[in-house]
Amino acid sequence: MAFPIPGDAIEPHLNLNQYLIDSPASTFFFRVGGNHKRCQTGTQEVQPGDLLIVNRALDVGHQSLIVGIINGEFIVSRVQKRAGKWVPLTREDDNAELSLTIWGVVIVIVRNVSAAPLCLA
Amino acid sequence: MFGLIDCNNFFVSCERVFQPELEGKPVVVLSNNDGCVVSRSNEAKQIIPMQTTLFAIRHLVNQGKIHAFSSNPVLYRDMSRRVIATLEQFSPEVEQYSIDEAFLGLHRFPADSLTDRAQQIRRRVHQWTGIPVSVGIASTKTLSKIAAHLAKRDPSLEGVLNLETVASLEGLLTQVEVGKVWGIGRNSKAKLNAAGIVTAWQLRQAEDRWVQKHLGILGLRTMLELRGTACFAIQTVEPQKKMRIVSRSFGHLVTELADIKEAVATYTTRCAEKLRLDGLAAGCLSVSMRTSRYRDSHPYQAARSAVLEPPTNDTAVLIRTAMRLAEAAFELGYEYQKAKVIATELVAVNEIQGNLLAEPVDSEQQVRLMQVMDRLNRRFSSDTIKFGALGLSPDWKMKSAYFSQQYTTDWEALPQVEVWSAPGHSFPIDR
Repeated sequence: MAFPIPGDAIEPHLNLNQYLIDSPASTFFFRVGGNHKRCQTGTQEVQPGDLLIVNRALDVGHQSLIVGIINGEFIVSRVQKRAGKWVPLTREDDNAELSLTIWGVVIVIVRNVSAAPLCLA
Repeated sequence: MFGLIDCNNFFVSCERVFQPELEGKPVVVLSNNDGCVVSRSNEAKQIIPMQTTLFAIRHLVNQGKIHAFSSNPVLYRDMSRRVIATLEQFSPEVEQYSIDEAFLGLHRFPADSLTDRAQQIRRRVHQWTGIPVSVGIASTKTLSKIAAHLAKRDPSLEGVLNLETVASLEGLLTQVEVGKVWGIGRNSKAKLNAAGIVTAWQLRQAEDRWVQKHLGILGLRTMLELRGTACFAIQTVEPQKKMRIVSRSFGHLVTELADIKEAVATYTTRCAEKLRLDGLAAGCLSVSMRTSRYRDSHPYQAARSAVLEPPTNDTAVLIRTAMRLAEAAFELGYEYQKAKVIATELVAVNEIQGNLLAEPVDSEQQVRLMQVMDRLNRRFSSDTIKFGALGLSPDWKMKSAYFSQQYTTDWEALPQVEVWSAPGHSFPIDR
């Protein structure tokens, strides 16, 4: 909630937003839902509870990690092109008839790897 | 040349960016306090008129036939800022006209490329922000507004109308009711209609002297703009108008919330006076406080901000907001040295208009009360008349039964995404 206070001396500090976000106008945050027990899904690239930084300005490429829409719901997946359409990249070939709309490209995954909760204040 | 970029069904579009399941369904956004419908998806436009009360459509909402949302101004403002920031890539001359409209100076672009450029703007804004927009292009601001209005309504135009490429301006302006012309208010419309002027084209063809006599110099300019003579330029906000700050160090270190609040109330009163003197209203108010930089071994500083929707310079509203912010920022156990009140997102009072979210901006009675206060305080010593800041019992809880989330400004309200797994296979995902 803090904002820069004009007129006050500005103390230099490292700003993660500045480091991670090149295009604030097109960049959005998402939270990965699902089961928070890490043991179940620990090998997955994207895990429940992760914070995703998504840039809508970027073009999708082969194997891009994207946030997209399937059946009106947000999903996160890597994608590949099949018959001119982007589909989720999975081991099966049963995704051909899926209708996937790309929402944006994931540029950063933020994950708390400690036992302590992150400060969200 | 000028462009007018108009966000389509803006509030509904903001909701849809983060709720993809609403795509293709009738969706409405309600005014403050869930009073009436102020934004409709195209599907909802088929079913209900604008300004319909929630009461009248409640049965449809309850049956799930219409998706209704309470106004979420924080989200809309954030999305509006993103749209403006995207537009600023195309031209240094961007004038935000309202939360969902902006004028763009297009003088740098070759005239024959403007339609393509407008399509590019439209695609870019949609890709970057998820908000669909319509673009009107013309030689004046007034005509560009008409162009955008028509571009929005005719799907065959694909969201862009460049009036320079229109074969018959007469045919087009004849379709536009004179009351829809930018700058023609209810009174002017009545006068024009009484004189038999019903369409924008008729106003364009009217006699200069008659128009100036009956509608004044602004009416004359509007008419000239309809003829293609630019009378209004892009207005970018002057930097010194962007904020008003009142801050002071306390005479002695302060530790109690009550004392801080009193100081903040006083600063806010000053700040409101400054705003009224300049004919401005604040869209955002911030309160900050801090301990001494030198004496205190435990430094503390905090700031809180609130959106004011609609923008206001009403001392009572500002103090109520400032008190809430001061309470939120205050932490017990510190010796405070300084507090600050900052009003930002300033808009000229006479430009607050047409924001359908709003209850009437500042009622006339309230405005007169402020004027009297300011006059007395200027004439006698300051604070001859003031608000009993702590005695006001604010009624903060507005009705907003269908509130969506502040998807872009609240860590706890981020949109949620599920890891994709092919149906009937691999990792089950709990819902």
